[in-house]
Amino acid sequence: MGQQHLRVVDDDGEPSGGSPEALLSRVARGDTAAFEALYDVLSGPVYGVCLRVVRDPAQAEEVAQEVLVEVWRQAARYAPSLGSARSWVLTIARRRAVDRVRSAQASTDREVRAATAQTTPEFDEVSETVETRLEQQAVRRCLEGLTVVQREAVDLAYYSGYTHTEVAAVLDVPLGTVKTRLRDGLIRLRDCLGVTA
Amino acid sequence: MSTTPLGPGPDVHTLTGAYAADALDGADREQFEAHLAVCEDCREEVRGLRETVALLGVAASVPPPQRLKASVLDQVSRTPQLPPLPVAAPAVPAPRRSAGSRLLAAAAALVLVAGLGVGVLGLQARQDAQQQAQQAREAARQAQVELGRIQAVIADPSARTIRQPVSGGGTATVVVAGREAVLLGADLEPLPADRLYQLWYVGGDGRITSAGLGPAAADGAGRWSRLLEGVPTGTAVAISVEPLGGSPQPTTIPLVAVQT
Repeated sequence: MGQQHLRVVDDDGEPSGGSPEALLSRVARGDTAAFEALYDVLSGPVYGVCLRVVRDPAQAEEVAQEVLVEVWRQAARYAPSLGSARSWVLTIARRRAVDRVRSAQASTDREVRAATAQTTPEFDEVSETVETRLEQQAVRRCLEGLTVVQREAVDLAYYSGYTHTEVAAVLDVPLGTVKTRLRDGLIRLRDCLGVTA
Repeated sequence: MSTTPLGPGPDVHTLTGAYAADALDGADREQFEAHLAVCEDCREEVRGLRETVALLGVAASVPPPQRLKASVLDQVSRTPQLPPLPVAAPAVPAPRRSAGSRLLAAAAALVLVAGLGVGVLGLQARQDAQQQAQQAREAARQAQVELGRIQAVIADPSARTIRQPVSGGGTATVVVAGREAVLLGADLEPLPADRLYQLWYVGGDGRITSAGLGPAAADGAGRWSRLLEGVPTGTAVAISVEPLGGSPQPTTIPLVAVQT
């Protein structure tokens, strides 16, 4: 075995330098280069979440644009006490997407597009970062550790954008059951992924 | 469909999941946020579940069409930013946990598993129960000592963290503080029963020496940790698959090399 087979790379894991938190704090001061870097890291998750909730790619693209511009507008209002930068951005994304789905205009479009609804979106493996792909694999694997009903509740609440009351109606189960499934399912996911806030 | 009134009582705490998944709205959300203001346990849990939910978003990631970037940057150049909100002193300062805490929690769980695992696997079937208990206690004590040293490395403010993806799946993270380092393996492929992961130091001169064997046991998520001692600067830490018992030099192409 020769050394040429080893893939030796330099330190690239410093948390503080290019982290979403550091970038967002620079964006808050008007740094457009930092915003571009943040776009490169987060546009995939933002667009992906919009796509899952809104389902129509054209509308998802519009909502994603609104979200990313909103991140620029509100960057100075992010604080670490609200959670990670990524979680803050994705919360904005999900809320905007859900708002779009619930608007009257979107309802009509949704019915029309239901016939052509996509299933699992394909993604371009080449342009996803290695870290994102590894996280995706970890999430998919950990989702398998949830019970069927937990996974169903998480899916309806998060990816479909239903409130817990609506989830209870859709599944025809008591509200308390939905609350428990969501909490237990997310706790199991959290522990499997090794998340600490 | 039943509606459950919010209010004090054990039931309200179960809303952390719904809240973190943004599945509460209107009055339900306001009431729960009022509860959060007075419930530290719920705040703590919501923090963790929120980050978990963010990972669900990452899992849904889809690269957008190329044209979106130009469109966003264009609109941003014409959009003023909002000023920060007036600062109010938080009632309870939210601790900002760093990547170190995450690594520490992972290492803590795993060293204990690894320590106990090695102790149990090393036992001869014929030993009596007392000797078994004693060896298990000794293994646990050694695991605690190792854990303490791993904690010290990860908690060192001058520690550097380098993470690399491992060929075949998973990541290897090395945390270096001075001449001590901690190697954390995550999501590595499970191996057949006659193979194990072996660690190597690769010096700047190309010399390769064994840095020990991967632990016998990993937790359910395929993670393990190992304390590395006496690591010279400029050494790379590599992992390869070897037969049980290890090899004097790597017999397979290393899956990853992390340059310290």
